Amino acid sequence: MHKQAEHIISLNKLTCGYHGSKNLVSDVNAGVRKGEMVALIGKNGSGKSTLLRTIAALKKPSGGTVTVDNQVNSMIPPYKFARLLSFVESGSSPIENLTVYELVSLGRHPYTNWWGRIKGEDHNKIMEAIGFVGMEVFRDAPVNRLSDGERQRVMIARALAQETSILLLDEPTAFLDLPNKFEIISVLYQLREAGKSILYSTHDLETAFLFADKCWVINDRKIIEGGVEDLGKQQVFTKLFKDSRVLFDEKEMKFIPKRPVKAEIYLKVNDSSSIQWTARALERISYQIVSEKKDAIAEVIVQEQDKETTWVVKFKENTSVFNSLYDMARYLSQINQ
Amino acid sequence: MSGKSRYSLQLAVLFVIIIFLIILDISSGTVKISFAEFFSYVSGSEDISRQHLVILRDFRIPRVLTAVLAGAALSVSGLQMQTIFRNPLAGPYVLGISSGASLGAAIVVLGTGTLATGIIADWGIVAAAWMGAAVVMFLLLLVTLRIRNIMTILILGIMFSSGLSAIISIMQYFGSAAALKSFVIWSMGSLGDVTNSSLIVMTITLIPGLILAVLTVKGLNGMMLGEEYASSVGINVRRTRTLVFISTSILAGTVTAFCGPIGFIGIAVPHITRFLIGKSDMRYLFPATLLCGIAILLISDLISQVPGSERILPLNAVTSLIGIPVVIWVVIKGRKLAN
Repeated sequence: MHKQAEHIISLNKLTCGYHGSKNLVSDVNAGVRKGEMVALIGKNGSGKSTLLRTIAALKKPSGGTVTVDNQVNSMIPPYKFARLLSFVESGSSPIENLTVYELVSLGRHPYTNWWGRIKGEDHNKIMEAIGFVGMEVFRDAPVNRLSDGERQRVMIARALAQETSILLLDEPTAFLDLPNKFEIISVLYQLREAGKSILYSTHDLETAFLFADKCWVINDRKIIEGGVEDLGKQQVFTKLFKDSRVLFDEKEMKFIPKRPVKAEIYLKVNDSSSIQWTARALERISYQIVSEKKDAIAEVIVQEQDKETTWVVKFKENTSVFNSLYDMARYLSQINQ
Repeated sequence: MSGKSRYSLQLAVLFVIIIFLIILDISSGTVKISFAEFFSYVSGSEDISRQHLVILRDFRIPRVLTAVLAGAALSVSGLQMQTIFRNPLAGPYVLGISSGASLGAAIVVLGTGTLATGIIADWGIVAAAWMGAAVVMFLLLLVTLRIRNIMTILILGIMFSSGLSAIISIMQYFGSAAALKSFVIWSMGSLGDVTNSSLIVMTITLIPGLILAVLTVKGLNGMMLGEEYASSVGINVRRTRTLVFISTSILAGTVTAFCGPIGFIGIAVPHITRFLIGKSDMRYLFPATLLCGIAILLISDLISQVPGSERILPLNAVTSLIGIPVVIWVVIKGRKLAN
C-alpha cells in the first residue's frame, strides 16, 4: 500500500503521452521513497522518457498529477524546482571547446547571479561533483574529446553540482560497454548511499537487478512497481518480454535468447572444469543436453590429460577428437544441418 | 598561465588592437589625415586645417564610430542566434530581419521612385528599413508565442526571409533604372552614410539592444546543451528566447536600417572568436565576440577604403571577401587541431 507522504516522488492517477496520439501511460500510481534507487523498465517506445520528462516538469501530464516533495511539480517555481530535482537526459551533443569544469558549472545555474558568476562556494561544489564521479584529472579537458563513459560521468557531475536531493536519469548506461555500465550504476548507487533519491530508466536489466531497490515496469500503459525479486516472483519480466525473442530465466534473473532446439546431445559429466564451458557451447549452437545416451544424436566426452583438454565426439560410427570448443562446435553444427 | 588570466590578456590585446584600428581608420581615406592632426582634434588644439577638421568631425569619426557600433551589434546578435538555434550557420539575418529592412528600403526607393537625396530621403529609408525589421520581429514574436519547437521557428524564419526577398526581386524588376541603382547601392552596405545626428539615434537605439543581449547571457549559457537542460536548471526558456529575438531584432534591424545589410560579420565573428579564445562559455565568449566584431568591421572598413586609391569598395563585398577565407581557414584548421 502506498503512503503518499513517504514518497518524495509520487504519481497520482497520472496519464501522459503526446498530443494527438495514444497515451503512453494511463491512470498510474507509483512512488519513489527518499534515498531509494528506482529503475524504470519498459520496452522501446513504452513511454519511459516521456514519463521522466513529465516528472521533471518538462512536459504537462494529460491527466492526474506528479508530486515532488509533496507539491505538484508544475506548481513549484522553476528556480526552486531546479534546487530539488535534476535531470540527465539520454545522449548529449557536447559543445566544442567546453571543458569538463565549464559543463559541470552549468549545474550551478539555480544558485548564481544574473551573469552566472561562479563564486568560491560554487567552485567548491563543482570540484566536489567532478571528484565524486572520478573525473578530477579531466577537469580542463574538452568534453567532446572524452569517451562515452567519461562524458556520461560528467553529465552526472553536472546534475550533482545542482545540489538536488532527487536525480532523474534517462538511460544513463545507453551506448556504454559493460565495465562502464557498472561504473555508472556504481556511481548512482554511491549517491543513493549518500541519501539521494534516484529514478533512472534503463534497458539494462542485469545491473538494475543488482543495484535497484525497486523497479517500475511499464507494460501495457500501466506501471507495475515492486522490489526486483518480488516482480521476478510474480513473473512480471517473463510477461513483459513474452512476445519477444528472449526468455527470462527466473532462477538466474537473466535473459536468454529463444532458440529452437536442433537436436538432443549427451554430455558425459565428469569433474573437468571445462564441462560448464562445453555445455554453454552446445547450447549456443542450439543443442539440448540430455542425460540419457539413447535419446541423443551424438555424445560428447571431455578429456583432460597433462593439463591438455580435448573433446571427443561420437556421432554414429565416427569418433572425432577436437582441441578447442570452437572446432567441436563447428563440427557439430555441420553434422546437424 | 591560468585560463582566466590568459583570457584577460586576450581581451586586453583585442582592446589595444581596436584602439590602433580606430586611429588608423580615422586617418585613412581619400584625404590623408595624419595621426598628429587627429590627436590635435581630440585634444582640442588648433593645429588642424579647417577642411581636415570638417572631414574628421562630419565624416571620419561618425564612420568609425558606426563601424564600432555595427561590428559589436552584428557579432553579438550572430552569437545569440547561433546559440539559441544551436546551429553554426545561423546569423543575425537568419530570421528575415535583413529582408524586412530591405523591403522597407525597397518600398521607399523603388516603390515611390524616390531619387531625391538629402536628409528627408535618407531618414525615409532609415525609418522604412527599421519599420520593415520591426514588422518582421513582431511577426516572429507572434510565431514564437504559438510554436515551441526552435527548429520550426528557424525554418519559418528562413522561409519568411526568402519570401520577402522574392517580393523585393519583383519590385526591383519593375523599378526604374535610377531607383534600382540607388537601391543596389543601399544593399551593398556602407558605414559612410551615417551622419552625426543619425549616429546619435543609432546609438540610442542600439544601447537597449545590447543591454538586453547582456541580460540573456546566463540563459543562453544554459541553453547550450538544449532547451530541456536549460529548463531543468531553472531557466525560463521562453522568456530568454523572446528577449534574444527582441535584442537581435533591435541590433541587426538598426544596423541594417542605417548601414544597409552587412553580411558575414554576424555568422563568422562568433566562429573566429571561439577559435581565438578557445572557449564556448557565453560569459567569456560574449565580450570577446563583441570586441572581435568591432575589430573585424574596422579592418573591413579600412580595406574598403583601398589605401592609396580614391576608390571605395562596397563594404558588403569586402566583409565577405576577407571573411570567407578566414572562416574556411578556421574551420579546416580548427578541425585539424581538434583531431
